[in-house]
Amino acid sequence: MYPKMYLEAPTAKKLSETFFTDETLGLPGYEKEKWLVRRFLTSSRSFKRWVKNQSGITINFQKSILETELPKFIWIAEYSRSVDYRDEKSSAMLILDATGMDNQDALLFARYPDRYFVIDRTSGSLKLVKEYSDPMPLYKNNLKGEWNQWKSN
Amino acid sequence: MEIELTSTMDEMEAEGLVESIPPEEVQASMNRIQQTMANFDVEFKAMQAQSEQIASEVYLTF
Repeated sequence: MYPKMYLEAPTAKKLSETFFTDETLGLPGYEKEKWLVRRFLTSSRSFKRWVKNQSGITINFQKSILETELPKFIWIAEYSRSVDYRDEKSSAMLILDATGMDNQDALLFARYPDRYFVIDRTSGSLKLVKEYSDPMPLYKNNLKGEWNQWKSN
Repeated sequence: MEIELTSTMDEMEAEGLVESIPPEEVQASMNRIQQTMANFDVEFKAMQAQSEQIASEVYLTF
């Protein structure tokens, strides 16, 4: 494991839950639906490569991620409604810094159906981008399996 | 980790797509999250200590 991985799995899980349900940074009305959640660790390099090749992500969100300097490793939490999950899609995505502090400063992006948040650490301000997005494809890049014809020796 | 405002962000701001959340609202949110995580840290450490206690008892039993 990368030596500077300070955000452990239980803390990453709690943090993503806390952000998702927060009245300012979360998804309004989240409690009215049931959510299927996938949380995983990946490298920002793999994630950016995946983002670059996705047509199911809005151009603005895609560019925001690609143009942002991300830490070497990130935690991703994808939230899907059951109907979207069957279509291998998610409605919300939180991206956390796996190499930083295990607190509220770990949030890098929060994507919801009608908006996304990005933290501008330089000014310390929180930016809200108003933009609608259809459910996005689930990230599959870091898991080997039938989907990528991976075979063990 | 420095996150710089990008040209995309500048363009979106020019198009009126970007809003700044009032700092006091952000601060209140961050305080809530900080408090939740502080409580979680206490619970998590207590749980870890309990697990270690159980593990050492099991070890002693053997």
